[in-house]
Amino acid sequence: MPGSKLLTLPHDKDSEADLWIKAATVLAVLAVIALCAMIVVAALPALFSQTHTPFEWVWQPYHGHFGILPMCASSLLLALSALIIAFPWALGIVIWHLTEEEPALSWARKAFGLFIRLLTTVPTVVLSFAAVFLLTPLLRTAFGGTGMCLLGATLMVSLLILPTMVLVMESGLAQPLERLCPQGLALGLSRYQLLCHCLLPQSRTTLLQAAVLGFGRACGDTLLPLMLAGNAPRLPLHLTDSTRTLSAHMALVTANEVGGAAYNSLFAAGLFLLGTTLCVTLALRRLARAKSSGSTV
Amino acid sequence: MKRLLPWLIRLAPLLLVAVCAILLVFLLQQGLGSLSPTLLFGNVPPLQAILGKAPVWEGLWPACAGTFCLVLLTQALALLPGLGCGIYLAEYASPKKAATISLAMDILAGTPSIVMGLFGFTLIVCLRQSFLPNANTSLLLSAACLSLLVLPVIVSSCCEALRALPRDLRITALALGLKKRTVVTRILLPQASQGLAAGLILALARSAEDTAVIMLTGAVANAGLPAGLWDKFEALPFAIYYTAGEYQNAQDLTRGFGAALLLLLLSILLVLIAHVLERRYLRQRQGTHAAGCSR
Amino acid sequence: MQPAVLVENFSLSLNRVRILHAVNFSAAQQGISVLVGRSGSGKTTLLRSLNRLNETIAQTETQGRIRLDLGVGLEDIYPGEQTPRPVSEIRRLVGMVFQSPNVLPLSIAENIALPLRLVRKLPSREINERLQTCLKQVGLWEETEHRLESSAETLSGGQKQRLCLARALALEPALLLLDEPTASLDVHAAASIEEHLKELATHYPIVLVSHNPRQACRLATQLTVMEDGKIVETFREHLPNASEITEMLSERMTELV
Repeated sequence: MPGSKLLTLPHDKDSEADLWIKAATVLAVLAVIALCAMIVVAALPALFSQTHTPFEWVWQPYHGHFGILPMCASSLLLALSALIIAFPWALGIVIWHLTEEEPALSWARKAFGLFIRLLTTVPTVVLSFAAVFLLTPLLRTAFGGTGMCLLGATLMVSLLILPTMVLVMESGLAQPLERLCPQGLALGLSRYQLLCHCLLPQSRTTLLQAAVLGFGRACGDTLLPLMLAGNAPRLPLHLTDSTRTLSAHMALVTANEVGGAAYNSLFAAGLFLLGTTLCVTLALRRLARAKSSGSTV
Repeated sequence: MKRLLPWLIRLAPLLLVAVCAILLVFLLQQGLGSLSPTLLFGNVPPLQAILGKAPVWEGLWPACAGTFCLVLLTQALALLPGLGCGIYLAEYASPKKAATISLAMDILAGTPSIVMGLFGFTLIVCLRQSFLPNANTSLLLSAACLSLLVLPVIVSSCCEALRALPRDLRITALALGLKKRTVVTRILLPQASQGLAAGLILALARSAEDTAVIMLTGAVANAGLPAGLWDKFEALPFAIYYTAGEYQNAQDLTRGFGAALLLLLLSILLVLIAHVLERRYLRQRQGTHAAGCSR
Repeated sequence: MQPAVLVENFSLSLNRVRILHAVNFSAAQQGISVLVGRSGSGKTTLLRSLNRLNETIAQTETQGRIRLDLGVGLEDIYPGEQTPRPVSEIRRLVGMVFQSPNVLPLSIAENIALPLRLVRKLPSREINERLQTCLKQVGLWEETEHRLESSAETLSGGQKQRLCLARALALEPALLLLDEPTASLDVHAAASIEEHLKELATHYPIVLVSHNPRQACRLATQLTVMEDGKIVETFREHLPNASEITEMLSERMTELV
């Protein structure tokens, strides 16, 4: 009927939430807002500082240079190079895990799921610790120098983001594949052919989700670059160069400096990192929405 | 090529297993020998160390105790907000509010832990400049920041556990004339307890292993046993990090490996328990994985 | 004449639950053999045994023998240890159409071309020829000629089901299995599928599972009634009419009660 309005139900007190539940929700949301607001406000003086701007390529606190651009670049570079290694690796693992048809290996397929799940929770500090005493000496013998370099951090960060990416890919691909299977197998296609020829070309969103999430994780990790990359505050031009990421920079500055422009640059670094991961989060949400609305698979 | 392809694909998981095996074997080889009471207590008699009667200098006991207190405190701080928010998200929130809450939780889940640490650090700097000139980084601050870190884990697992419950249960209980809040807290929540427990244990594991937050908010290398909420403290992950850079002799290093192994075993154990609980819970409910609780 | 399908004393369990009990069944080289029975009577499982599809879904144990004529006389499908052909080739030679029209998430043309390219490894010229023939065979060519590249999801339910049929035909099967192919379609779409099936039955042996007694008696040249994983009756001549079939199924139901 044109013009008719749906009646709103009268307010129902009995179906309202307990006070503590409401308070908890408000608290949780406020905490997030406070976190973001506080970092932004703290970073403002640095962003608009005329004398000690963080937007330069030199970090020499004793000569009045507080540039964090090399660290920004190094963070992005590390994340990207880790992604380049981890993405195809994760894809290979997922393809294997979803399509292994050899009955003799079905136990391996089952065990592998749990194995990946466990890998997501290996403490990064343990990973870094093992790498410092195992990988770094290897790199030292191979390339000379200290062995603390972008390459070492890249390798370990790619290992760190690998299980998460595998889980994301699998959660997006496993169900559609099972749905395709009866009919696809009845045509004489193998699971591998179904996955690689039918499903993967349709699953760009899932793959992108995995990549974006991996990128976010790689950007945010602190311990691996801090302990493995050598922490020289300059732009790495080579994989064997020592470098310092934003996260490592923040850990180092809070540990060593007290007050002044160094602190200010710390907040600028925090803001940049927060901004990056915020973009990642928003991109992931958009991808998830695109998937739930647009896909027919 | 056709013949080779299945084998090429098998290389990917094999490589991963090999890398992990090498790292694990290396850790075990270096650290297994040190796993003994001496690793924890040094030369001090264990009982005296545990009771705090004698200080432990050459052992991990203070770090373990620090991590223990930190984890418990974190859980205490995060429990009510996490559960409350999860319940609200699953049972009460209108679609619009649910979108806001899940956005907030997504942002929080995506925030790097070092930024959480920076948040705590900023908080203290502000407090010191305003009305608490004596405020300093401490156990309580670390726990507060860590509880922010594990909040999304608790919220999403609480929400998922509740959504996995059968719809009939809700309708039946409401049809009996019970108030919604009674249904939620007295019927749904106990039913979902196993799923909740899994989430809480995951949160426990997460707060035990994080290093970046406590680095910025009060963990130090030599504080002894945790003295109070307002004091600095030692923690296992920080001890590992510190050892890697500052070890003096082979004994220090061995202790570092022991600590790494201990933390690894601890988090694997916690995650295994959580995994088993979650599987059992979802199987009981025959629940398909509930959608809409972002992680 | 030699049958196209010969099932002898065949038992099967899925995940340790016995589904089929010592089934004996055969289907002729031509015509439609219809399987009827209540849901849960094992019709679909029997159908899926013929192309060994059960074992892709659950842990399967079998006893007894199934032989199919895949072009060179009867050959063993079960017992599964030493079949003369690899399983995927068996599945290719046994065309199957499912209850819900499951198109691959690809374009209309690719739905037919992809299996041909991957499974038969045909050159593209031949694929195009066969694409056209098969679509014509199921009466889909006029409707889709101009939009072969659009997604198969844009087709209607009946068109999708005919596409599935065409896809099965394109692989040149020796036998067609149909699992309630019209169950999810409206009356008109169902009627058009039935017409095509009658036509196809002059070239292919067809085994069809049906829920609908009227459809069963419209199509059947042989009618098999199943109950609790067993075959209770097979009619080859003097097929019962629809109401008799309905009665038979409900009778068994009341017997159980």
